[in-house]
Amino acid sequence: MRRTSSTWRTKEILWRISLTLIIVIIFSACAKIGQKPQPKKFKPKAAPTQTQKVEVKQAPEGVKEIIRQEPTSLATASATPQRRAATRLLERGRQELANGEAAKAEATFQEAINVDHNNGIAYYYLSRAKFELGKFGAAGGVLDKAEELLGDSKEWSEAVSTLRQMINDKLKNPN
Amino acid sequence: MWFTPKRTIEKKSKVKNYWKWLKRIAILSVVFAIFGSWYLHHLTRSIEMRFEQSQKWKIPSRVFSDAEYLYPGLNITNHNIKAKLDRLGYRDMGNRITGPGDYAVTPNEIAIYLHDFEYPGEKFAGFPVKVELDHNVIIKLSNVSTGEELPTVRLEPELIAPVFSDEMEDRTLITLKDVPAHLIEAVVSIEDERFFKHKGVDPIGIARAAVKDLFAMKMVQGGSTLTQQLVKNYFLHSKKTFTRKINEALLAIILERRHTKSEILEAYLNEIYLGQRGRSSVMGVGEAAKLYFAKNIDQLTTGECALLAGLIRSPSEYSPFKNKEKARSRRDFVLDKLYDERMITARELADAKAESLITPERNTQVVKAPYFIDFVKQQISQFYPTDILTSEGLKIFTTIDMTAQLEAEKAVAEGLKKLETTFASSLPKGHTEPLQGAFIAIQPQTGFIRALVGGRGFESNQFNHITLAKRQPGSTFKPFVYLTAFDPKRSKQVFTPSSFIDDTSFTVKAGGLDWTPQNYDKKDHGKVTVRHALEESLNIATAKLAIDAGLDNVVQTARDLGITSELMAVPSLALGSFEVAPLELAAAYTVFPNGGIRAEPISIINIIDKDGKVLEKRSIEMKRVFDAGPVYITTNVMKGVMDRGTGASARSMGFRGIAAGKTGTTSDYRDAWFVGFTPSLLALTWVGYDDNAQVNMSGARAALPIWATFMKDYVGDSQEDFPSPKNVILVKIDPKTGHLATKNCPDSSFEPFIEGTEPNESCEEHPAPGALKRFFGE
Repeated sequence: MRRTSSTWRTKEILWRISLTLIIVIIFSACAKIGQKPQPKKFKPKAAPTQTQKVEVKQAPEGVKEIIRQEPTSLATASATPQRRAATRLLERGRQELANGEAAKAEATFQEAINVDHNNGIAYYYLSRAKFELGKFGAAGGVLDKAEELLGDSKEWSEAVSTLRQMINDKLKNPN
Repeated sequence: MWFTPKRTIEKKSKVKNYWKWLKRIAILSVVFAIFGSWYLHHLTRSIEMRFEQSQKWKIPSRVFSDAEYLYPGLNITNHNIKAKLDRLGYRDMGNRITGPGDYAVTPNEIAIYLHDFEYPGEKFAGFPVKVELDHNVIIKLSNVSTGEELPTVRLEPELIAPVFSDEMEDRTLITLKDVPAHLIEAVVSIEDERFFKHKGVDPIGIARAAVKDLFAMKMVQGGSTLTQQLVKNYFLHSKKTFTRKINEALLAIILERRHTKSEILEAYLNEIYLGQRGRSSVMGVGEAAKLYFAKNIDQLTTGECALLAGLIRSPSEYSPFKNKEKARSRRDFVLDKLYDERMITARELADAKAESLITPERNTQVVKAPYFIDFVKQQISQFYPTDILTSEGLKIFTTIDMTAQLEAEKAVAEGLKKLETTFASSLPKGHTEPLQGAFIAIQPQTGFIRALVGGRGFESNQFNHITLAKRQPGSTFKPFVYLTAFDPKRSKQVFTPSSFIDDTSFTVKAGGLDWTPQNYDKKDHGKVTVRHALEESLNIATAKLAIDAGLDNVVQTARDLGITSELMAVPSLALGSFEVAPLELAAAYTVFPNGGIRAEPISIINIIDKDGKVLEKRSIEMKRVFDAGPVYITTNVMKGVMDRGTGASARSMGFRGIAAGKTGTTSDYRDAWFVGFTPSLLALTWVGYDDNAQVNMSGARAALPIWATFMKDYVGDSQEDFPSPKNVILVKIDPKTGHLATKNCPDSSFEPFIEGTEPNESCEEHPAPGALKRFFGE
């Protein structure tokens, strides 16, 4: 079979156009892939009590995989047996504090911490009791721990900073 | 010459003689009367001086442990509640409880009738509680009397040691109104049935006893009244002499003239000897009720009253600890006597005889935790002289947890014994002194000292190696270097766990001399990550890191952690060349599990007097000394020590819980250390010789097994992790390059970084796959 030059030329042109199209498609696909954010999420191997959030950031020269650990929320923590037991002690201590028995309350909050050492509210109230007893320096130290544990709760953070202000005022001007 | 008849002369001479004798008798009488009056006055004075004081007896002070809380959800596997109840003097009743001080353990339930207890500022009245369990986890607590569900149950503090005077007498004072009537009746009827009729000495009683003894041809009954017995025990000695008998009778008569029968009886019941607890004497019915029945005096049953009264004659012979049958027969004898004298009814007699004779576990160890007690006494002696401690009946409440203490004592004793047998070839030959070991456990959040073993065998060596010794900490000092290096505010140059450091020998001038650090394996390891350097405890890399971070900064870090011993900013500081006290080191480490907050170590919580008035009160003292970020990162690297590094053998010993720690071995292997912690407990172990001889064993071999044994038994495999601060992120990196991991990195791991200090470059050794490769695959 004899191939005419016009047919060959048409085929050649078609073949070149198709190849160019394929190349364009491939490159645009590649470009899309390059821009696509990383879909994979990484589950950290960590304590079951901690909720964790995964954040993936674009780094200048590559993909940065980051895990930002979130502290245990107060709601999650309240489910632990220690927290439930300590909560009852806290109730007692708060009552004692309300009755003006700050020394008694101090001991009760200390017991609550003894049972549940990560109970930020217990540290907060222990700091309050110490403040009532005039132990301003010690109250500030205990409030450091409360601040660390209650940092994620807006209301508690406000309560902590209010107490901090009161302590600082007293430290500056004890009378 | 004057003549006198012979008869008159004789008469005169006789009269003269009479006069002479009369005068002598008169003088003697006067002398005797003066002496007698003086002597009676002297006896009366001695009664006034001693007996009529407000405080008749020396009451030892008592040191208590911390209370223990039970609550729903608590897994009691590692708490050994039964052993604790035994130590608290509760009686194991088998399957049901009947009264105060009883407990019963069944597979899914523990019933406890709680003791009364006087806490600082609170008098707790015991009641029966039911602890319901499901696979060793408490699911419900309830008050058996009211059916009320309870959120917590507090087991009272354990008595760890009384502080005795030389007499070693243990006594709980009681008043007559607390004593059950049956006990008074039993004591009077068995010891002095005419007590309410005589005036101190009972001639009828003496005659009756003499007749009985004569018929029996042996001593079967004494003629001494209760008053005479009191006088003998309180004022005199037990040696049988004629003078003592006379004094006893005179004093008894004087006492009866000056005091009522009730006062004498109350004193008698407090004074009488009723047995031994180890080396100390149990005096009075109040303490005896606790010893034999684990009860307060007012809680005794009729049968128990009868036995207590029966014990007075010979506590060792009739002791229910020694011979239950003999004790029962003595009790029944007293009960029969009470019945004969119509003090009890036939029904009461039958019920009392039917009472089973169950005693609590006998506790002969008077002083538990001797090194801790010594440490507590040292602190108290600053406020109270010894005579106050031995006589005023103070109650000292401490932070110690006896379950932890006993586990620690066992771990140290067994661990040292094992080292001496298994690794005998490593230890110096013919060394006369025994290998020493010490241990301390601290709750990081409160600073409470939970266990303290100051050495091996308090009887032979009272030196407290935890509080008094000063030893080189070796590699246990290294985390302070890394903490400095990870803290951008402290370090001259910021380091992260994935930073690289050169572990190649170098020489530096220190104090005018050349100093060349060496690794334990005598090798250089070249370029290593900071993480690897701490996990494998590399000396060269650590020394270099300390220099790069700033030696002054490292000293400041140690100071902020609470190290007060002398430290100098020289390179060898990084490898723990300056001596510290183990307590100091343990307290410094508590900052790691406590997120940068330092809680002052505390051992005494309260001191109250015998009336319950609070004399001293100490509470938790803490302060933030470090940012949480660098502390968390150092802790995270120390977790690697446990999982991969020099502390990994703890895992093969069966300890699986989440923990961080550091081994320590000083140059020439003189001290072996391990300091490790979980989020809730920190413990330090030291092993070495007092004369600084070489142990020839590393911290991992000598000290770590003791730590691991304790943690495994006491803490268990807790999966609670260290909380991460907000400004710390975990970034996936390639450990070979320290850069961001790519898909091509054969190995990758998440490393913690303070946000902003993480690397931004991708791993250049394993570049990310190209776009086409990703599209088409490999």
